[in-house]
Amino acid sequence: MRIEIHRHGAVTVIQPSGPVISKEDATQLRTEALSVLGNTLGRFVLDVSEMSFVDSNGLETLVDITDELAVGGQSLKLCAISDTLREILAITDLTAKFQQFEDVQTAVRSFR
Amino acid sequence: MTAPSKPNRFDIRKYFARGESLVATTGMAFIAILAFAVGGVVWVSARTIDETSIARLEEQVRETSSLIGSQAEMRLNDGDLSGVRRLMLDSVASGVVDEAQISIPGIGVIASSNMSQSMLTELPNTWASTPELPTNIVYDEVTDKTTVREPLVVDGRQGTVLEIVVDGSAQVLGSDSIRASSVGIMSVGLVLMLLVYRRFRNRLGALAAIGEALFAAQDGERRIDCLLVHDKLGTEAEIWNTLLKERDELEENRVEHEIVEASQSGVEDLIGLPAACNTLKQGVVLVGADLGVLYTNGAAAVFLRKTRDELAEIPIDRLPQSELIVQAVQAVFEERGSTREVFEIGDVEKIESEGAVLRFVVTRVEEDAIPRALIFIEDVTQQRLAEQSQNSFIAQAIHELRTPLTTIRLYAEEAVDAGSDDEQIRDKALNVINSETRRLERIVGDMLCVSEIEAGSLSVRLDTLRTEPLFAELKEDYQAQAKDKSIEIVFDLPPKYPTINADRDRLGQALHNLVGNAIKYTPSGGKVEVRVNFADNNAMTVAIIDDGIGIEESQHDRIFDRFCRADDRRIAHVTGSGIGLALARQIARLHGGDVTVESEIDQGSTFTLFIPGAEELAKAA
Repeated sequence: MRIEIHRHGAVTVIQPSGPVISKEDATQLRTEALSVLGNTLGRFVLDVSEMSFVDSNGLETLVDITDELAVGGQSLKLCAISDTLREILAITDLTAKFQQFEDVQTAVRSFR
Repeated sequence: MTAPSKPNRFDIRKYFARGESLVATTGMAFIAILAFAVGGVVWVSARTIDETSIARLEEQVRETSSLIGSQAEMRLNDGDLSGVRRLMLDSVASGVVDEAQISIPGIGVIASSNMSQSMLTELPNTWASTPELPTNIVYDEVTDKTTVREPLVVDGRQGTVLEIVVDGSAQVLGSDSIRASSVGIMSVGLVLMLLVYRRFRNRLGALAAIGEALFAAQDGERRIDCLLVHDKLGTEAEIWNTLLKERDELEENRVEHEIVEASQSGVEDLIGLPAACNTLKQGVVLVGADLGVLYTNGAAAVFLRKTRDELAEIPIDRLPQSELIVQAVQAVFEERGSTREVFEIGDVEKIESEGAVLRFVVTRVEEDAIPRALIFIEDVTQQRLAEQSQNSFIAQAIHELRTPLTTIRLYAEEAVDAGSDDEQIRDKALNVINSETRRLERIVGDMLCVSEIEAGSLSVRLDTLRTEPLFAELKEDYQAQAKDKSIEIVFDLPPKYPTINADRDRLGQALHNLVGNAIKYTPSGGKVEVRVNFADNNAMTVAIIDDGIGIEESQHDRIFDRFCRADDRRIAHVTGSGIGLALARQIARLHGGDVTVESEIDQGSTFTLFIPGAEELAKAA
């Protein structure tokens, strides 16, 4: 899995590409996200437009990240969610744990 | 973890309600099976006894008839009819048989135990001799009577028949009494079983209910209300319920213990106001007069880059960049001036190194006349950046407006000076004024769009659009501008223009921004190419290719942000509002398409605008 990091103003956009279907992928995503979280005080969004699928490891990672953000009263902002991922979150009853945005711009604007 | 039950697995439990009904149903079924088995055995036994009795009766009757028959033959051969009749009467009188009679079929009765019956006075001289027949025994199940027909030989002649009837009811009465007594015993047994069942069913019901509760617990049920059984089911039920309640109490005690422990360790945020504060994304710190931290929420710990435990142990003057914080806290404690101090830590220009711009609001609060300082911390980095971008936009916009206005004023003066003497100069001036006015109009249009984008109300009105005039106008507008800058502009247009479904004004706005940008950022002597293609489904692709300065890959996403311009020293002298590309992309997306960029530093850029065909757009909608 490839993870790209972009900056939109003061907001960092993490964009993983490909499915998160192994423990290694999940660990890579967790490490990257927690590192960005520490540097930006939580001012980041996860662009999942290129993340075609997540398995239980990936879901656990997303929950870990949002739980870590919850320490500071925030929650993980996901943007450009595919129908598959949206369905996975609904089935696992995790939708409410995340903030969801149509695209990166809207997600970035939510920090204002 | 308990493995989930397979949904299609056969589960007998679903056919029974919980509790006593299972025992009742099972008990009744058991009694019914037992009764059926005992009844079957009794019936078969009685049947066997019946058959044995009948066989024995027939044997006795056969011997009796043989004995009476031989006596009768002897007396008939002697012609002693009276002796024969006495024999019949004696046989009945002795109780050996119930009826006895000797007759010659077709002629008459020779002797009978029934004296009222008419009998022959003497043996006929002749009668038809019939072939010898075997002894015939017939048992009538209805009357329990056995009839024997014994052929006799009189004077060497066949045809005389001894017929005796024996009542066998006395012999077969035994099996009926067995049946009757068995039914009686079974009835008594069933009644006794029902009584025993009534006595023990509660205890069995308790076991069944407890069993079902265990099954439910195995399936993951943990609610005590669902696992309790009725106390009236007996001692076992009471013991089970007590165990469940004790388990619940232990669980409650454990949670209570954890809460107490948590509150004692300073993390008293499981319930109440502290928990509410902990959900805030703004940091909250309560400081005492000794500058010690009395309370901090999670967000504050994140902003101050410490854990909550660390913050609880250190005074605020040991925090990083604490000078301003301490000054503000001391100011509100000493009530110097305002009781509310506001300041920011961090520089928006140094985001990379400092990470954030934090806004601190310090206010004085009192609890039981004890003064305390409440510090409210907010991350305003993005707001400050946005404000900076907007300020930059306003400055750029003013500059953008001033340029065409200046040009218009100069050419207007020239046209006035030329008057009617030099029509060539006047016409050129009017053309420039016209062109600059349209440019001005576009800039104002873009600025209006910005406010619409900000409000989220930017929309398009799709209509059937002939694209040929659109590109003709674009060509006319930019050829002169490119020529002024010594840039070669090439329009690679298709021979035929299909109609598309689009908003003419908005699409024109997007194309003007893209072509205008290409000319703006291409140095003199460069080349700009506008290549237009239509697919079979009328989807339109416009590629604007320049060989200008190019854009760093890291800036590719950023250049589509509002008020953002690429972070590149080479364009510092070029005026621009930073909204053109954002607007072009927004308009393309409202049409169901997009604007993308491919670029390399010093090699040039290609911006591609894609508008889907009407059918594709309808599907996407």
